[in-house]
Formats: sequence, structure tokens, C-alpha cells
Amino acid sequence: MSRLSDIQIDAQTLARAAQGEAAAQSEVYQRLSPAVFALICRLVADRAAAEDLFQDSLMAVFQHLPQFRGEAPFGVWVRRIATSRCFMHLRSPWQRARDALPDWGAEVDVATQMDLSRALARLPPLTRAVVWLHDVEGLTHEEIAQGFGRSVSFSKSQLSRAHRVLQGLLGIPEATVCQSLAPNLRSVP
Amino acid sequence: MSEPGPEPEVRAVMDLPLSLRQLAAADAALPAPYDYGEFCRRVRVRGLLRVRLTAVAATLSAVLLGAALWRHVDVVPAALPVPGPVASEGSPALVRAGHWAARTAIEERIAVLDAMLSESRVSGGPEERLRALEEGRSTLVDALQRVAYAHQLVEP
Repeated sequence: MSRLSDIQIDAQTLARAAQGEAAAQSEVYQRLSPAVFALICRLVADRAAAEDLFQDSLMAVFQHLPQFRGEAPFGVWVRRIATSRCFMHLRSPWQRARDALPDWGAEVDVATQMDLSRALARLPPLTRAVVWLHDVEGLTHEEIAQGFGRSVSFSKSQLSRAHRVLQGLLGIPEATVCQSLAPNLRSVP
Repeated sequence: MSEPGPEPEVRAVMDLPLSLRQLAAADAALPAPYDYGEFCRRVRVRGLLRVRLTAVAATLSAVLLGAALWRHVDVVPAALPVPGPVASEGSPALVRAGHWAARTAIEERIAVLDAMLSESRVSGGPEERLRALEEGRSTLVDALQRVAYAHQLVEP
């Protein structure tokens, strides 16, 4: 697996990076940046906003690196920094105004065959973030709720809604809940 | 004999979260938006931008504070070359006055000096003290005339 939380960097490199050594920081950057950017892009669809959050996140990583004590895996620590910035972005009043849920009944065309990546992109930002953080990054409903400053039931309802909508967009019958149709799922972003 | 496999539809299905994780695995192969050199350049640009924003914010605060003070403090002494018989070289002048407030304050001060002068003359105090009081009174009378003149200039 190449999820952000699975990335490990040896303690010596981290120590040198924490001391500001450019070569070590460059190495850390090269190891982290693709996964950090991929995660942020999945949570925040807007490319410009994603680049801003990516820059913010990695600046925070290098700034706080001397405080990293190694109690949690490094990738998990970085993921927490990146997701907290995404949470702040998604919680902003501007973003929440954009996040008004559309009328799904009108949007979903069961006959439409889409790949999973495009189906995800059609979800509202908040809903997409919840399903990604829960299903891919493995965050609990409690963690997601805390991040968004909402209730646990909010997280659960968003996840349930996201699954339902994704199944609808992918043309998966209701009866095959948790068993999504594969052939037309292209795991290509 | 091997067991019959699942129906074609069932073979073709997979867990939705699993599909999402496979998508994430494919995402990780994507390149970063820019390299480390560009990252460092953006760090520097942001630092400069922060400094400029701080400077702009400080300037704006100073302007707003100045404007607020200007509304409350309307008596500003300045070296205005006031023409006419009451003007003298290097003396302060009032260029914008809360006319009545300034005039009343000066007149009150002159009244206090008048009382001190009377007392000093009656009691026969030291000559230097008498002279200092007279000079002070003269300055205040001069200032009173300046206030009146400045008021005429500002609000003819």
C-alpha cells in the first residue's frame, strides 16, 4: 500500500531534516509530497485550493518536525497535519455555502456508467471528504466528526449518503450494497 | 472436481471501500505538483507576502488611528505664518481650532493671572514675580488674538 499513513522515513533522515538540512528536507519532501497532494486533491477538488493546502501542510510539517516525537508513525502524523488543514478549509463559511447538497434524485441517472473517480468528483466536497477519510484513510466517525466540528451522526449520515449516491452513479443495484460492480470501475483518477 | 464459481455478476462485484482504496493506491503514483526547489521558492514568496501584508496592516491601522484622533482632537498647533499685527516670528499659531473651547480656556487663564497680579500689587510682592506674571498675561492675550484670527481664516 502507498497510503500516506503507510509512508515511513528513517529517524536519522528526519532528525537531519528537523535540523534544517536541505538535502534531508528534500528527501522527506520527495517521499511525502505525492501522497500528501493526492490526499488533499481527493478531499478538496479545486486544484488551486489543493496546491495552497499542500504548501501549507508541508510548511507545517517542516516547521513542526523538531516537535515530532515518533510516538505515532510519521505518515500518520503528516496525515493529521494535512487533514486538519483540509478540515479548516472545508469548514470555512465560503466552502459550506458551496456545499449545499444538490437534489440527488435529479442528478442520479442509473443508466449512466461512470468510473469511480468521476463519480467521487460529483459528490459535494464535504460528503466526498467523509467517504474518503472513512473508507480510505481509516478515520473513525468520531475523528471525522471532531475534524468538521459536527456530530458523529453527521459523519455517519454523510457516509451512508455517499455510498448510496456512488452506487447510483455507478449503476449498482440497491441489493448489492457493499458489493459494487467492478468492470466499469477504472481505478484511474 | 472443482466447485462451480460464482455467477458472472457476483464475480464481477467488489467492495466499494476496497475500490476506493485501490483508487488511493493509484493516486499515490501521481507526481507532486512541483519539486522541492519550487516548494522552497514558494516558502520565500509567502514570507515576503506576510511581511508586506503586516506592513500594509500597520500602515492602515496608523491611518485609521490618525483619522479617529483627528475627529476628536481639533486643536493642532502648527507653525503657521500668520500675517497681520498679531503675528510674530516663531510664535505658535492655531490653524484649526475648536474656537470657543480654546478661547474660553485662554480667557480663564488670563483671569487667573489678573487675580494673581492684583494680589501681588496689593501685597507688594517681588518685582521679578510681578514682571513674570505680566509677561505671561501678555502672551495669553496675544494667543487669544491669534485664536480669533485663525478662526477668521478657517471660517470667514
